[in-house]
Amino acid sequence: MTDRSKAEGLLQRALNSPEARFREGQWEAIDALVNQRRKLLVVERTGWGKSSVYFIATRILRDQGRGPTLIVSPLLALMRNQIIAAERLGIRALSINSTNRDDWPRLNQEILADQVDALLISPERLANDDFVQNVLLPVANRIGMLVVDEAHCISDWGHDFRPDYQRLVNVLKRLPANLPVLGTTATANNRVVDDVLGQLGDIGVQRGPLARETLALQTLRLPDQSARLAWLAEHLPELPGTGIVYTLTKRDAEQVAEWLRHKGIVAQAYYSGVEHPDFPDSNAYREFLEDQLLGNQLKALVATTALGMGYDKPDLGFVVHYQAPGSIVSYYQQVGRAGRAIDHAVGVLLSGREDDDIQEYFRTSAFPDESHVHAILRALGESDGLAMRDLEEAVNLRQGQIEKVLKLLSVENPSPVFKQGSKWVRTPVTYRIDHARVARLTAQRELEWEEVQTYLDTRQCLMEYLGHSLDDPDPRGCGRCSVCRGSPVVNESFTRELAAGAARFLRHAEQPLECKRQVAKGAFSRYGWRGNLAAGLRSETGRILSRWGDAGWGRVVAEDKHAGRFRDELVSAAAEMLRERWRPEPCPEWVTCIPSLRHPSLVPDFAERLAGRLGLPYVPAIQKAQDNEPQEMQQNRFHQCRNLDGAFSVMPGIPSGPVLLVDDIVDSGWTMTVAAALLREAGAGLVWPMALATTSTGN
Amino acid sequence: MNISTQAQAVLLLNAWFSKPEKGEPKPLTPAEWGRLALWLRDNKRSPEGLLAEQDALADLDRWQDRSITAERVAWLLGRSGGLGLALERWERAGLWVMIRSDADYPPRLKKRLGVQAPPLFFGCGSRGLLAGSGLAVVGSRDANPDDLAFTEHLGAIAAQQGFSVVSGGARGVDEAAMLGALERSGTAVGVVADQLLRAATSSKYRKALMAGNLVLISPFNPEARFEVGNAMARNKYIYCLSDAAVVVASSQGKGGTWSGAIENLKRGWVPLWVRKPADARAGSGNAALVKQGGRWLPPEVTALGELLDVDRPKPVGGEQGGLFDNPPNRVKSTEIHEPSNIVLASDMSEAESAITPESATSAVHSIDKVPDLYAVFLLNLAGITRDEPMGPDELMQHLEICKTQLNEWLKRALAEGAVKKLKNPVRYRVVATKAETR
Repeated sequence: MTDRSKAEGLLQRALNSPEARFREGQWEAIDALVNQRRKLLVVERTGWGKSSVYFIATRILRDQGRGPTLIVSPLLALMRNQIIAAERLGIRALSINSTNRDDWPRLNQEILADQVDALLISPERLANDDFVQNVLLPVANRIGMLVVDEAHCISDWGHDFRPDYQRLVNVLKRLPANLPVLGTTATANNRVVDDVLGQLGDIGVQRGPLARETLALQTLRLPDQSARLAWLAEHLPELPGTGIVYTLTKRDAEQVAEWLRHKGIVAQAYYSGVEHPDFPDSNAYREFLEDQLLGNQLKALVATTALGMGYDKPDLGFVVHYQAPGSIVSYYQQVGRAGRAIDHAVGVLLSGREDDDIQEYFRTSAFPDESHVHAILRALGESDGLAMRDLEEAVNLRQGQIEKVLKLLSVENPSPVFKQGSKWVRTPVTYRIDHARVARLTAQRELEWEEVQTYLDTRQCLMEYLGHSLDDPDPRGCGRCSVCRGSPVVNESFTRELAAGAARFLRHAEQPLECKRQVAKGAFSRYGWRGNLAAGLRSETGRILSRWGDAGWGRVVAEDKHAGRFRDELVSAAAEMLRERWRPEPCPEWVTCIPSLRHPSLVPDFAERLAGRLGLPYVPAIQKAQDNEPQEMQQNRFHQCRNLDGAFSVMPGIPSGPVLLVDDIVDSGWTMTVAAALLREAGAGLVWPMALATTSTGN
Repeated sequence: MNISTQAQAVLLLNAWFSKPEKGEPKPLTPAEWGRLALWLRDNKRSPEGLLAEQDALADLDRWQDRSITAERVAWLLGRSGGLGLALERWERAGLWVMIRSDADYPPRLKKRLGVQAPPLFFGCGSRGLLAGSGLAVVGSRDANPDDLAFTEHLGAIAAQQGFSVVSGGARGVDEAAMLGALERSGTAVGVVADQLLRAATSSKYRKALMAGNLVLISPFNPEARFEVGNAMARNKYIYCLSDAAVVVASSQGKGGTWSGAIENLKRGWVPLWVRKPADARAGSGNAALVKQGGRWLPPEVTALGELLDVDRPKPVGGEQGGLFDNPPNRVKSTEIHEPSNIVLASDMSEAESAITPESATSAVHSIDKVPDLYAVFLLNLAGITRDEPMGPDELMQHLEICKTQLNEWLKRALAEGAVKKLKNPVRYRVVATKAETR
C-alpha cells in the first residue's frame, strides 16, 4: 500500500515545488489505480493534472516491480512540461510512432530490458495489425498499467467517435481485472460516460467541474466567407497572445492561413497529412507546427480537429472557429484549450452558410454505402485474400472508399474481414449492417448540430449553456461572455475594403493542376502506355480556377454547367488568371479542348471564346473516338485509366507550338493526362492544362 | 460476448500470446496445469481467484512444486496486456476459446484423456459438432491419387450416413476426407496443429464454417507455425474425438500417422481400421499396423456404424502381447505420477467418474521412440519453409539450433537433394518432400 503523503511527496518532486498539494480527485485516482488495481474513468478539464496522476501511479507501480505503463494518446509526443515532470520522477518515457520507425527494434530491446517506464503510442498504431503483431505484442506481456487519453472517443455517442478507438474498446473488454486502466477526458457528458460504462463494465468514474473562469465567449453569424475572412484579418491582431483558428476542412485551413499571411498575420495551416518540403513526413511537420505555436512564433495556427486532442498550451490566448463544429461537446473541447493559465482568453464561434452543408456531408459520409460493403465482401469471399491493388481491380470503388469500408469492418469484433500480411481475407463471420445503429447515431448527430445552432443564438450565459450541455454538476453565469456583458467581447464590425479584398482573394483561389505520371498496370493496351509516361508525353503544371461550388468562382461554374453555357465573366476570370498570375512560359500559341459527346458545345464554346479573348487560334484538335462510360463513374485508378483507353484521337496536322488545353471539370486528372499525351504524340508543343473547377475530394 | 474471468485465468496460465522472448518464463504444460488445478482445488481456490485476490500467490510458495513457482505464476498472470491484444485479434478473425469447464467442452476428451485433456482450445465454427459421433480419417500429407480418391469417397459416405469426419486439416488425406464430407453437406471436425487462424480464413473451409458444418480446433497458439511436436501431440485429440478411426496410408515405424495410430492401439481409445492398399508396395505401414492390432477395413463398407460395433481393442501389453514379433516401444513417461482426480470444482462431477488410472499415468507429450534428429530437422524445415523460403539466421531462430549444426544438416540435405538453396539473399526451402509429417 502506498499512502497519500508518500504520493504527495512524488507530486512535489514532479512539480519541483515543496508546497504542491494534490488537486481534488488526484490522490483518489492514484489510490484506485495502484492500491486497488482498479479501472477508472476520470472526467476533468484540461490542466487539472491528469498526467501527474498517471506518472505518479507509474512511479509507484514501477517501484513495486510492475512493468511499464502503456499510454494510448492521439498526441504525437508528450508535451514538454509533461516530459520534464516525468523526468523529475525518474520516469523514462518514450514514444513509438510512425516518425521513428527506424528506432523500433532498438526501442523494443530497451523495453524488454526493462529500461522504459512509460510508452506512448497513438490509437492508429494500436489499430495497425502489423505494428501490434511485430512491435507491441512482444512487449505487451509486461505492461503494468494502461492509460487511455481522450477516452470519450471510445463512446458511440462521442462527438468524434473514431474507428481506431473502437479497436481499443475491443482490447479493453478482454483485459483481465488485474491490469489497472485509467481513461481520461476533459469532455464527456452523462450520455458519453454511461456509454463508456456500458461498454467497459466494471469501471469507476470520477468527474470534476468543467467551467473555465478566464474564458470570454462570443458567437457571431457571418454567412459569407469573405465577411469572416475580413473579420479575422481585422480582429485577430488585437486578440490576446497566440491561438488557434479552427476550420472544418483541410482546404479551408489552407485558404484561411494563406489569407491571414496575405494580410501580414503570421499563420500556418495544420491538419492530418499536412506536408512541407523541409520535413520528411507529415508527422514531423505537425510536431514542428505544434512547437511553433507553443513557442508563440505564430499568431495563429489554422487547424482542423486534427489539432486539439491532448494539445496542452497553458497560455493559449484565443480559439476562434471559422466554421461551427458539429456538437457542443466538440466545441467545448476545442475552445476549452484557451485560457488555462492566463487571466483572460477569448473564444469566438463564427458560423457561415456553408456549415450546414459540411456538417450534413460529415453525417452522411460517416458510414460507408451499403453497396460498397457488399461489393467488397463479395470480392473477398470469392478469393483467398486480396491486396489493395487486387481489390481496386475487383470492385469499381475509390481507394478511399475501399479503405473506409475495410477500416469500419475491421474494427468490429468479430469482423468479416481480417488483414493477413498485405492481403485482406474474408473471415467466416456472417455480417449484417446494423441499420438501427446507423439511424440512431445519425439522429443523435442531427440533435447535436441543432444544439450548436441554439448556442449560436442563445440569450443565456454562453458558459452556462455549455456547462448544462456537458452535465457539469454546477453551471453558473460567467459574467464575461458577450451575453453576460450585454456587448460583444470582440467588435463585430470590419471595413468594407477588407471585405472586398477577401472576396477578391477567394476568386483568385486557383490551384495547380498536376497531371498523372504512372499509369495503371494493363489499363492502356490500345494506346500502349506502360509504367511511367515518357517525359515527352507529360503535360506541364496547369491551373484550376475554382473548387466546384465554392465561395469563389465554384458556385458560378456549377450554375453555368447546369444552365448549359459558361458566362463571359468566367472567360474574363480565366484570361485574367492566365495573364496576371499563372503566366505560363513558353506562352501557349493555340487553344484546344476536351470534347464530349454528351455536351458537344459546352466546353468548345467556352474554349473558343477564351481563345478569342487571348488573341489565339482555337483548334478543335481532339475527337472522341468512341463513346465510353462517363469518366466520373470510374472510381479508382485502374478503372479510370481503362475507361480512357482508346477514347480520344487527335486529328492530323495540328500546330506544333505550345497549347492551352481546356476542360470544365477535373476530378482524377486522367482525362487531361491522356489528352495531353495524345497531343504530344501528334506533334504538339508543351501542353498547358486548364480547368474551371475541380470536384476532387482527395486532399 | 465477454470472456469469463476463469477463461482469462486459464489463458494467462497456459497460452502463448506471442513468440517468447529469451529468458521469459513459459506457460504451463498441460501436466503442470493439471497439478496447479489440483492444488487450487485442494486449497478451495479457483483460477480466477488468482486474478482477483490480493496476495493470491503468497501461499503458492509453501507448495513448493518443482517447476510451478510463485514467481512464474505471477509472471504468467501479469501478461494481461498480451492477452488483451492477442485475444482481440483472434476473436476478430472469428475464433473462440473453449476451456474445460465450458458446458460444450467435448465429453469424449475428458472421458478418454482425463487430466491430459487440454485446458483450452482455440476454435472456429460450430462448437456443437464436437459432441457428435465422428469417424477419424488419417493418413499421409503426400498420399497417392488412389488414396485420395478413396479418402474423398469415405468422407462422402460419412456425410451420407450422418457421421462427422474428424481429421487434422493438413494437406493430403486430412483435407480430402474433410472436403469429401463437406462437399456433400456433411460435417467435419478438424484438429489443426498450426495456423488455425489461417485455416479458418481460407476459402476452402469458409463456406462450411459459415454454414455451421465445420469446426476447426487447435490446442496451440492460432498463429503458431508448423512444429513436429505439436503435430504429434494433437493426433491423440483426433482419435479421442471420434468413435472409430480409418488409417488410409501410413509409413512404417515413423511419421505422425504411424505414431498416432500406435498410440491409439495402446491406449484403446477407438477401433482402428486400416485400408488394404491396392498396390502392395505402397503403404507398407498399413500391414504393420494390422499386425499391431489394427483391422483391415472391409472393401465395401455399407454402414459405418458397423465400424463402431466391435469390441474395443484391448490396451496393448496384455493378452495381445504374443502377437508382436517386435515388441513396440513403450511410451516413456516423462512426467511424475499424476493424481487421478485433478479437475476444477466446476467440472468435477463429470471428470471424477471418467478418469481411469490408465489415462492418468502416461505422458502428455509422448514420442514413441527417440526420433532421428536429422529427420525431425527436415520435417520442421518443410513446415516452416512451406510458405516462403528462409535465410540461415531466421532458420536458426525458428529451429533453435546452433549455426554449426544448421550448416551441417543443410549440407547433408543439399547433397541429398532434399533442400534447395536460393540466392540473393541466401534462402533455403525443402523440395518435394517425401517426409510424412503426421
